[in-house]
Parts: sequence; structure tokens; C-alpha cells
Amino acid sequence: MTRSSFVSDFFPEHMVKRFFPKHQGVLASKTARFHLRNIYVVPTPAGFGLIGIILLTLVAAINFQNSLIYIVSFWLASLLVINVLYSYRNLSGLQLELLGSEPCFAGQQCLVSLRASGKGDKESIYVGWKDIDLAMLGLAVVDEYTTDASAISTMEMQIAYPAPDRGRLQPPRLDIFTHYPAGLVVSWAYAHLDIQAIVYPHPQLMDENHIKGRGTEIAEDGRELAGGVSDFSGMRPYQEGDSPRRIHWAKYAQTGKLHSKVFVDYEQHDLWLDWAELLSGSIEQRLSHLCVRVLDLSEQQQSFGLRLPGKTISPDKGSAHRAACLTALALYPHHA
Amino acid sequence: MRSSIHKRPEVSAVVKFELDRQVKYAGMLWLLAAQVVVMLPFVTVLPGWLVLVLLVSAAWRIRVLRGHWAQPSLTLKVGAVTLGIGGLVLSGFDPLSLDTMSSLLLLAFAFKSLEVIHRRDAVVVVFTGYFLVAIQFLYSQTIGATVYGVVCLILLTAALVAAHQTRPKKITAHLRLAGLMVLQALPLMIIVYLFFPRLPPLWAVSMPGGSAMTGISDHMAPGDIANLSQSDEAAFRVTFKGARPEQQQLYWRGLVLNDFDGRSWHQFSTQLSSAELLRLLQTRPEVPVSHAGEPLQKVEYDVIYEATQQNWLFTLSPLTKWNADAIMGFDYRLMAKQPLQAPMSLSASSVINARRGLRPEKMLRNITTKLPPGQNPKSLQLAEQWRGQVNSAPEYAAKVMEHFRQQPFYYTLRPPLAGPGNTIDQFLFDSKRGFCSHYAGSFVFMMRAVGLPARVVIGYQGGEWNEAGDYLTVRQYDAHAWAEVWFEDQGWIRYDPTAMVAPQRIEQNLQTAMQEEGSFLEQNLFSPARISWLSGLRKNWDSVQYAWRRWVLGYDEEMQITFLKNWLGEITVAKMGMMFATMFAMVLALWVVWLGLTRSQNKTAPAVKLYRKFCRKLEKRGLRRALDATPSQYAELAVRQFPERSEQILEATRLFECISYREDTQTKNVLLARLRTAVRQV
Repeated sequence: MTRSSFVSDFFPEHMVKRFFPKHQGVLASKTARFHLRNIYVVPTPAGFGLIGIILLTLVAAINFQNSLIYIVSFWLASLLVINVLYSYRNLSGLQLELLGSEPCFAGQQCLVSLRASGKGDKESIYVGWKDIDLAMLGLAVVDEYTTDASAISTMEMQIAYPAPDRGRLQPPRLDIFTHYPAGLVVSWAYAHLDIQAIVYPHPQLMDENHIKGRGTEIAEDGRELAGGVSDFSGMRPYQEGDSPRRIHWAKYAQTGKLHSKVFVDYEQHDLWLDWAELLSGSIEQRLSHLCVRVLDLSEQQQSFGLRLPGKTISPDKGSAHRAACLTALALYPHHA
Repeated sequence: MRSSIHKRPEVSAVVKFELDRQVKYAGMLWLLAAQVVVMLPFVTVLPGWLVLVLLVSAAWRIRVLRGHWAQPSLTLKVGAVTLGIGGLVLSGFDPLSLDTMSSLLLLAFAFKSLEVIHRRDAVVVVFTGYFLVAIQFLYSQTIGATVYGVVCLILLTAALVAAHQTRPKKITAHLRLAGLMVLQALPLMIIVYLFFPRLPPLWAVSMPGGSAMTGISDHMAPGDIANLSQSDEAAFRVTFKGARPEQQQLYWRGLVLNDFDGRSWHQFSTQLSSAELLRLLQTRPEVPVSHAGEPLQKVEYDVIYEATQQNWLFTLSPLTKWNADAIMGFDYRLMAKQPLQAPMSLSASSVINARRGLRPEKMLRNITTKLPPGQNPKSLQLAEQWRGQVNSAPEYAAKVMEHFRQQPFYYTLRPPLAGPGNTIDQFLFDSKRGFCSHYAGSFVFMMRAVGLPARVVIGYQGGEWNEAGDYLTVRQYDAHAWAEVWFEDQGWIRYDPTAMVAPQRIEQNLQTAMQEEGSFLEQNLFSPARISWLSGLRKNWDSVQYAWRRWVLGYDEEMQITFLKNWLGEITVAKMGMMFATMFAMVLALWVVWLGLTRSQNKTAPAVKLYRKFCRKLEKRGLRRALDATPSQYAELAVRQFPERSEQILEATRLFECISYREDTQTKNVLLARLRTAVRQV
């Protein structure tokens, strides 16, 4: 029995929709909005403590037949109830938008960027994963004189999720909760945001003896590129427009005709980072090694290519190339 | 290997995020303020040094907060707690009494302020504070105490809110939020208060002591009641359900004094054995019967007694029905089962002209005819002589009464001090000046002198009618003493010799009776009762207090049923439930609107609102603002069209623009006020 069918068999439909949207085929989206149907309010331990005090005063009121103690008891109870509304209001109308996530290396933390927006004041709202990382969010109407109270204020924040393994990281749903205003109740909600992050392998070199011959990384000379500047290749009759510096004066002295020198360039020695060159070591060790090489070569502004089983990236340089290589390493194995 | 030049990323362990759980400075300040305010009223009933403990702890905590001092060491804390508990032991409270419990709670409350670091600690302190506010109401239930209690609730809530703050805010913001929440909680509180079923006590509890007994005491020495008459405090208040009896019929009978020791009157002789006393106390009174041919004069009324710490309940006699937790004694007195720690209400019905005690027990006759032997020979002799002159006992009593009326007796609040021995002789033959206790005492003496059973009754007479509230206030200065004499076939008959001497006292009140002497409340010069222009104010305040007693403090099971029946008709559980649910839904709706939870809520900024008003005003005069016109373009047009208003138009436009582009809010407030005036003048 697959997990999703287990879930849908076991729970009523509305609960599946709420708590397991992925199993329902409900796609997690880029934004989450909190309102009456997805905010939950429950007493905190302090709230239960207050319920205890309310009961205690109630017993005192009954035993001493004291009207004013009844009033205290009921007033505290009403205060607890109105705290539910205050707490709910604090979360209600808040919108979270996923801005994106930065790739990271295995063992690091992946930073997820979010933007919160909402009407009016929002106080002390925690966003993130409980026990892992939370960001505190507060929105305030900056200027209550000229801004409409219904104006939207926004705030951006980053939260970190641990990425112990390379690959595609999909953090679980986000917890959003607030203890505002008096810590008696907690309002909470889940945000099923479509957070997808790439986790590169942990960069670590392997011992040299695992690697077949040093030369392997340096490939054969590239083909000639005409119109270059480095190597002399021959002569041809002068044509108008040729640079006077390239005129072969010795030949002119010999023949009385102008000849121009012709040079060529060679394509650079292309570097290939090849999975096959790594003789031993586990998959992860090889990927980690290649990761270091990619980082080193990118640092040196070298052009290089990457050959992995099932995937080849032709030589190039630049940050996009670097990212493509690292992503290829992260998502190994590839199925052609 | 070549030098590796890649930047090796830092591999960091996942750090568990800690919620911000510390109490900030503002939280500490509010907490300490709330603690001091909560503890203050306990000074009057519990050891005052408890507040000192709090102040020292609070001061220390603030020093720690500012970084001047260190947190106290464990030894110091243990020492302080031991010292505190030792102090409580030395205060001499009964270890299991409520006073001890509240003192311990207060001590912990005071010490805990030193320890508040985390929110959890603050929550514990605030909750203890909430409970202490409730405890305080065991000691005092006046309107003032209630208002104070509400202030405490708001302060404690502010401390709770401030303790949970995460970003710095204006310190008054917490108080404002807490006040608003407490205010918003009020409607639901009232509904629950009205509907919550009132239950009988779950188990017996001892009431807090510590407050002195007030009002009439259980014996009467010659000057006693005169002292009481210097107080203008209310003793109880009465609402009559039918017609109000006449003023001279309002004898609020309290307790009965049977024994005279030569100087003062007591309930019982100390020579009475406990078995005899017990037998007497367990005797049930005879059922009052109507006098042949006379229609019964039935009076129904509700009384609310102030707390006196005593058991006496004052009613018109004889009582036929009452509903409170009280028992009737063999001599028709009514006593509460518990001393009155708190105001108590009573619904009663009396038949004021019924006959009582036609066949008294022999022992009762014995104790009501006893006199100290060998004292007051002159009075005894006079009694013998008069008894010989008349035929019947009632005639004899009438003769004694007549004597008080004819002889130059004075009714005074400043009676001469009685010398040792023969006090009745001194009064009847020499001084002839006295207060009601003198007259009642000597009258009973004269009756007993010829073997008639007679006793002194003390209570209150009369009362002040409050027209606004339709009720009667009986004050301490209405305290009175009179006599009851028993005749064959008639039972106990009330005689009030004071009425012979000072009829105004009975027909009107003490103030009128003392007009000449000027001794009314002479030790209480600033009493509103003495100052005429304050009298009206006092009456209004009195009716507020009475309403408080009657409707708030007196809201018990019976009143709840009456109230709900009047309002809703027949009471069923389903109906009550539905009613409560409806009211709750209404409060919820009120809250939703109040808190702005409705979706359509779109508040416009005040400056924009004012500018729109400005535009509307000009529109009425025929200049419409084009959709794309800027304020300055619009103003230009307006000035051209209404040159006589150009100044105001330009001013309003300039201010609006100014506010719109300003940063600091303080100036904006000022500018906003100016814009308001400018728009008004346009």
C-alpha cells in the first residue's frame, strides 16, 4: 500500500486536503494565505494554567458564596476567550510568498527566502520549522496618517533548513504560529509552499592514488583557429587592409612584392572532468571530488567540461556553467 | 596536489532556534507595578511587612535588570524565605486559616519578583496576582474595592502582555491593549455572571478574620448605644414589597437581653448552667397568633445587611417567613448561622401585630424576672407602692410609662456618668438624664421589681427613606433599646419608654430629637448627615451602594431565578442554554466588529478623509474635481471660482500635501488638526 492511498483511506477527505495536500494531488504553490479555514487556535500551557486559575477562583466563589469572586472568575474566562480572537486576528490575512531558495552544499543549511505581506499590524509571528529554524515576523503600518489602514505592508525574511545530503531538497510544510498578545493561546497554520532546493555534494578531494594519471584532465590540443595572433603559420600576398605591421619586409626585399604574415590561434587545451578517471571510491566520494574540481576550475576562470555516466556537459566557463555542473553532480545519477 | 584554492564552505551544525523567552525591561516594570498594586490592600488585614518584602525584592530586581547588582545567591534566598515564614508564624495566625494561606501566597508572590527572568516566571506571578485579586474580595466588597480590583486585573494583564513582547514598544501600549481587552471581555463576563448556575458551597470553609465587629454588641452598658449613635454608617437597607409601615412601627428587633447584673444587661446570666442554656436555646418559639378580631398586618420586605462579623439579624417582629441561612431563637430573635463576613441578603415576611409567646416556659419566666438582690432599694420601694395603687399588670406598666412622660426626664446623648452601685436609683431619682438604654433598662427593672417578666430588646428603630431608590437605610445612629413585658393572655408586649420622653426620636429620627442639644453626630463633625448640602449627595451615593449590594453582591440563586423568570418566563434547561448561546453569539458578533475582523473593513486615512470632505464641499458649490486633477490644479480652479475663499482653499490643499509627504508623525498630528479647521472653514 502506498503512502498516499493509506492517507486517503484513513482520513476523511477534508482532513487530507488540509494536512496532506501533496497526497491529494493538490499542488503546493508559491503563496500561502491564512484565513478562517486554515488557522487553528489552541491554548498554550500558560492558557491551561489560566483555566486552572479560573476553576480555582470559581471554587472559591462557590464556597465563599462571593459574587465578586464569581466576577473575577468569569472575567478571566472572557479574557481567555477574547485572546483567541486577538490571536486569530494577528495571523488572519497574512500572506506568505516564496521568493526562492539558494543552492547549498550538503552539510550546510539551505536558505529559503520568503516575503510576508498583510494588512495592518502583525506582531511576533514565527515562520519556519519548529525546532529547526524560525524567523520572527512583524508588520506594522508605518504611517497611520496618510496610509490607509487597509494598506499592505511587507517584510522579507530568510529561514534555513538543514541539508545533510546532496540532491533535491524538499523541506516539509512551514509552521506559522504566534503567541501574541498574552501568550495564553497559540494560533498556528501550515504553509504548503513549493520549496525546492538543489543541494550540491559536499566538496572533498580524494587521495591522489585513486585518480588515473594526472594528464588525463588535460586533453589534446584543440584545432587551429584562423585569424589568430599567437603562432606563425605562413604568408600570403598583401591585401588591402592588412596591417602594415604584418608585412613581411624581408620577403619584400627579396621579391619586391608585399606579402603579409599569417598567424593562427589554437583552441585552448580543453579540460575534462571525467567520472571514468576516478578509479576507486564510492559514488559520493567521487561526486565530492568532482565538486571540488568544479569549484577550483571555476575559480581559475578555466574552461572545462564534465563527463558523468548518462550526462555530458561540454566545456565552457562562467557561473551558469558552474551551476549547471554542480547541479549535474547534485542530481546524479542521470538516466539518459 | 596543487594548493586547493576553492573556498571550502563552512559546514555548520543545525542550531536549534530558541524562541525569545526572556522578559524585557518593560515587562519587568509592568510586572512590578502590578505586584505592588495587587499587594497594597492586603496591608490592612495581613502583616504590613509583606509589602516591604515586595518592595525590597522589586528594587533588587530593578538593580539586577540595570546591571548594577547580581542576582541574589541561593543561601540568601533560602535565608529570606525562612525569615519570611518565621515572621508569618510569629504573626500568630491560626496555621490552617485563610489568613495564613493568603499570607503565604503573598510572601511567595513578593519573593517571586526577584526570580522573574523567563516568561514562564512572569506568567506564574501574573496568575498568582489574578488569584490574589479574588482573595482580596473576601476581605472587602465595596464599590471602591471592586474598582480597585478591576484596576489590578488590567495591570496584571498589561504585565502579561508586556512580558510577551518581542520588539520594543512604547511602554503605555501594553497598558492600552490590556485595558481594551479587559473592557472587551466585560460583556461576556456579564452574560456568564447572569446565567451561570449558583451552587451551594462544596465544603465548609472558614472565613477570613481580621476585621473588627461593628454595630450592636451582645450586651448593653448604659453608655453603649449612645456611642453607636455617633456613627452614620449604614447597618442595613430595606425594600418593602407592599406598603411601608409607619415610621413608629419600624422596630428592627435584634437581640434580647435577659440578665441584669446591676450595671449592664447581658443575654444570659453567667450563673446559668450550660445544660440549662442549651435547653433554652433549643426551645422553639411559639407560633405567633393573631389577636382576636384584629386583622393581621403583614409586612413583606427584603433586607441587605452590611458585614458586621456578628450573627444578629434585625427584623420586624414577629417573623413568619424568612429565606436566608438563619435560625430563629426561643425569644423570636433571628440569627445567621455564620457571622456576617460579607453583606447578606434576606427576604422576610412579618406580622407586626401578632401575639407572641402566650405560654412561656417556667425557666424563661424565671430568668426574665430576676434582679440582682439588694440593689436599688428606692426603685424597688416605688414599684411596690405603685403596684398597690393599680389593679392589673398592664395598668402598672402604663403608670410607669406615664411617670417617664410627666417627670422632667431628658433624652440626651450626653448622659452623666453613673456612680458605683444602684444605677437605676441614680437615674430614676437623681439625674433623670439618659439615652434609650437608660430608659429601657430602668423600665425593665421596674417591671421585674413587681415580678412581671420583662426584658430589654436592642436593635434599630426607624431609618431614612430614600425616595430615589424607594428603600429604607437604617444607620448605626438608629440603634435603639426598648422593652418587652409579658402579660397573661397577651404574651410579650413591646414598650418603648423613650417615646414618652422624646416622641420625635420615634416619630421622626434622632437628628430631630437632638436638635436642641446639638449632639447629633457631634464626634463626627464632617459626616454628610450633619451637613445639609451634602445630604442630597449622600442619599444618591447611598442608593448607588444599595443597588450594588442588592443587584451585584446579592445576586444569589434565588435572585437569579427571579431575575431570569421575570425576563424569560418559565425556566427550562433548554431555554437557558439557547438564551445563553444567543447572547454569546451576539457578544461574538460585537467582538468581530470591534476587532475589525469583518472583511469589508477599509479604513481610510484621516488626512484623505478630510481632503475628500473638502472636495465634497466644493462640489456642492458646483466645482467638481476631475479624476486626473492633482490637488494643486484643483485648488487653482477653486481659487478662480471662489476668490473670497481662496485663503482657506490654498491652506487646506497645502496642508494636505504637506501631511502626505511628511515623515515624522508628531508634526503630522499638529498639521492634521490644522487641516481639520481649514476644511471646516472652507
